[in-house]
Amino acid sequence: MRSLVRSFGPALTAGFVLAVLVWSIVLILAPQWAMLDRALTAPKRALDSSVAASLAQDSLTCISVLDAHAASDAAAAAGAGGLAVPSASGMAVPSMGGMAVPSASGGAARPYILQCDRADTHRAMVRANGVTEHLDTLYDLPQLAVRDSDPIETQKATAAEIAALAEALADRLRAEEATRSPYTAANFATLVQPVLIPMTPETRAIEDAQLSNRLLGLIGLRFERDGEIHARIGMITLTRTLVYAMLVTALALVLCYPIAYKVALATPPERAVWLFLGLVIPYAIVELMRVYAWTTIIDTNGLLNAVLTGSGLVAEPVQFKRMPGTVFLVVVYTYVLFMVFPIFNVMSTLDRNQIEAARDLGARAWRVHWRIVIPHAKPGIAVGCIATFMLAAGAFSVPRIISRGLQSEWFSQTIYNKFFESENSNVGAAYSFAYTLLCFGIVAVFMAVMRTRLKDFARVQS
Amino acid sequence: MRGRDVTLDGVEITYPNGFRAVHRTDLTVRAGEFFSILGPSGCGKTTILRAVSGFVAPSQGRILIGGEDQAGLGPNARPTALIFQNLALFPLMSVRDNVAFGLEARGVGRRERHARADELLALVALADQADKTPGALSGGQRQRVAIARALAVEPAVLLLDEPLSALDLKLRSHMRTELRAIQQKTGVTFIYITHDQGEALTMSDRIAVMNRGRIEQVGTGDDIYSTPATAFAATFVGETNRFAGRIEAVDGAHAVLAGAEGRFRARNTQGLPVGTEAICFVRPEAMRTGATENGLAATLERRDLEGPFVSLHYRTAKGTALTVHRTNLGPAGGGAETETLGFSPDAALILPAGELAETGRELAAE
Amino acid sequence: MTSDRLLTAYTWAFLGFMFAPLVLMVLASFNDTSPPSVTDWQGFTLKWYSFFWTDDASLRADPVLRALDRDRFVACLGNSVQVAVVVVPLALLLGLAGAVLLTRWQSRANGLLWWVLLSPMLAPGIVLGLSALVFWGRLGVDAGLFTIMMAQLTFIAGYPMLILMARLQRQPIDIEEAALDLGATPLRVFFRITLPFLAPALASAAVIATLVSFENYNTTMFAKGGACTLATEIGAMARNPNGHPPVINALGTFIILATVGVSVAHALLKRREAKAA
Repeated sequence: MRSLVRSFGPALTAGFVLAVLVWSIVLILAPQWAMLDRALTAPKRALDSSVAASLAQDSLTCISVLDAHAASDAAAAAGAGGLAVPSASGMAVPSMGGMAVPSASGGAARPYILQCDRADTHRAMVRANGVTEHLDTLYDLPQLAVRDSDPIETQKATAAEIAALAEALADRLRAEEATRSPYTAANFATLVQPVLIPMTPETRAIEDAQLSNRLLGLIGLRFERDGEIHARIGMITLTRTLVYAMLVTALALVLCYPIAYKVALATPPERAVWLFLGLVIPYAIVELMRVYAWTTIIDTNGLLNAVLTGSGLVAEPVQFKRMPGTVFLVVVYTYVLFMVFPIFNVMSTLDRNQIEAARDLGARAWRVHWRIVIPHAKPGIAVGCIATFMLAAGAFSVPRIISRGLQSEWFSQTIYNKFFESENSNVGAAYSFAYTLLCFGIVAVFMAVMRTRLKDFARVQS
Repeated sequence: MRGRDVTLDGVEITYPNGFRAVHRTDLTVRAGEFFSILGPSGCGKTTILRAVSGFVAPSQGRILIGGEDQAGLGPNARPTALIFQNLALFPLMSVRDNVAFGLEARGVGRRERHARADELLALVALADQADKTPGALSGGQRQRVAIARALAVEPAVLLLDEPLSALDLKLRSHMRTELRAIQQKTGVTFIYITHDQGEALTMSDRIAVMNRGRIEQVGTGDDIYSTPATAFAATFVGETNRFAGRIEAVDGAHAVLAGAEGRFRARNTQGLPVGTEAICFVRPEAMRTGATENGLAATLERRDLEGPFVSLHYRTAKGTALTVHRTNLGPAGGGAETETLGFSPDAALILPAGELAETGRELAAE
Repeated sequence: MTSDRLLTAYTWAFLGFMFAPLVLMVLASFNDTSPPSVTDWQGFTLKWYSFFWTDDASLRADPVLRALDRDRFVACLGNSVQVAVVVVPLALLLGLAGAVLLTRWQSRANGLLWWVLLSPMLAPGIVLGLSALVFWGRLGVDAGLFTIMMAQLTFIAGYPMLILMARLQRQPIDIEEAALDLGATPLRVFFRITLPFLAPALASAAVIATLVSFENYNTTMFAKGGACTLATEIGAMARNPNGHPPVINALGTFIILATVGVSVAHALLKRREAKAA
């Protein structure tokens, strides 16, 4: 720090330090901390106190709906004709309109009311580990329920009793929850939770034979229990996405190494400038545009299908957007250039004389690459692999646009859906956090194996 | 412009990693003197320079310039200017702006500082290059820009960190004369760091020979060449032949050293007593063929033509290599196969045994 | 030298792979059919381009264009500009500070700082968007342009940082020391020596940061709340199962032209810089 102050003076140094602190704390660390906190807290509505409170709420609503019902009955009995359909409470009470048929039928004293049906102390609570517990057994409540066959007054009395019990329980649980640590690993546990996959025997036979399913079985992500197939869907999506991302990286490396070599070392510098520009332009074009560009090719009535049907290779257009391979290909297309530039930048610092010297000493082309070019380009290769892998693993636009929801998700889509579509942001946060950690873990292992350091990221920048 | 004296009073410099770059040193450079610090790379000479200019603080002792303690003063507050090894010219500024930068930093107005810069550029014979950027100049011109830039702030002491090392041989010898001339014209104290003994010997009023963080000898070029104080100084400055042994007898200013190659009589300037492990040093140009005194037989192995003189490489029967320099009197001037070599006792010097300079490696590194 | 010829052929094939989809996209933008196609040629048209300036009456007359909300499109573009105007200067500032600290701050904590500052560039974009949403939501800020800016800034600042760092490492410390030695204050050294030296790198960094901010979809999508940017608006059109309107292709053609222009300018700029250095 002293040398910093000496070169930049106290004012500038303080400014730099402040900027970096804001960046690293407010923009980087604190948001991740907030994510972790969110991931470790149980969703509010899943808390037992919330369950009890909602039971109390349901019971009270049941009573008020029953009151309204009785009032309308009375009005009908007063013989004012069927004109007044009461709208006593703003509650959406189902099938109020069906009240025209009085209660006599089927032994029920009233029509179906959702909230009364739910006014039952034997309420089920599904835990993260898949076990189902019940409110009454867990907290020693008497088993009470509002039965539609009882007289209305009895129903109201029962509902009132349930409401009182539930409210007391909710208060007690809230007090307990306030003192207990709010943190739980349950959100993370949903990631590995198995889900029953209902299947007909025929589809099951087909599914079981698939290689991918057999592989999933091998690593315990798909298994049979009580004669039914279960799958850990979250983990399956996660694993598939990571495997795809690794394959994308490997393919990109194979595709890019020769290109980087060609532009950096095998072309006279004045012509290499134009080749380089040819790589920069597609690299700089808005990512989404490059994804859209593919839709013209792979659409059901796109170029590829026109060529295939036109040449008689296939009779029916192929549904490319349903094929995982298409998403894979477009991910490669979209992120392949992130591999080229780091390798190119490092390679171009290699003295061309070294290659000529090696050739002159009698080395064949492959040996020149293996002993001279690749060792020199290694930091660039490592950085390119890391960049491509992370982009592919976090790909969101490509699967979203290319598949149009017609094939299984990438993990980033799963996170999006958990967060925004199922309104379960705690689980979404857990998924997101776990995924980040996993990806960083993979990168750290890769860097250790390749013996690269983070400083190489600055070195490969042109 | 008047030079001021520089005093190192018990200065010791230790780096944070524990490495002691400079051991306790007392040294006074006189005002208006051209003073060189000569030593191999890594001997601590650059560290001393950076301490005087204020980039490094001494861990012990004081640095005084013109009698004023410089402790706590940054490089921008000291009456010194440093010329960097790679010159460190500002690549994006014109030559004139480079020279005027120090004045700009002192708040001198544009017109005045440009006038002053042009004056200095005339001094270094670059008046017509003022509008170019440093990148467009040749090595020697850039050198002169760096000097002009340093002189613009009217320093009392100019510190030069091997500024000629990047130049080719011819330009280097030309710049030596030029530097010396500028120093005499301005009267500024020059402290010049180099590992090239030729530079030190030709330009300096006085030279300090430095090794492993210690100053081994301070003296004029003649002193150091003819009467080195240590075995290191003897071997680092100039070429020399040497015979190791033990002092057998002392008579007045001379002593007799007995070793594997026989007995040699030579000057004993340090008054070493009998029994001391010592080395007898003889410069190649002091070796004579067919001499009677301090004689020993040797066989000619190689004759190297150096231009104005020839270098004759001999080896004795016991394996000691000897070099003899002889004025080049034409191709016939070779030696016989085996000859008796010798030297006058007054042309040789006996010094206590000690570390020798690795001349070969030093040359290879150059 | 057949291996050389093979390499050249492969290079051209690769460039073909990179450019073919773009060429097709441009072609489809002139075809009078929706969704865009190059196989089903219905005649040359410029109407997908004129969407952006034609009058409302002719818009309503067209069965495809009628369904598109031009005002929203323009508003989203405005949002993108707004985001970039805030994000790019801040990213340059943070990037410069990060670059200075990482290159010049000798400390044990330096390694940790590397990880922290580079992690947003490595993290999946969605994660940055989500965490900004959650964090600022907790502080009472609703998702919108502000969260988009914060989420983008988190990782976009990394680009200037890397670019400036490469440049800073090439600046010999000697030059700064020489200026200090000549009596300049550190502040003057920074503004007179270091900043001019960094200027070309700052310019490139600004161009790249602007491009990244404009095109960013993954992070923005997650942080945007009810707001939109050009990228999310384009992305939203993908939800149409029948394919997107060719207006996108027309816009893509604009973008390709702009990109080619900027890239060529950038290449020339870099070349000039290389000559000067």
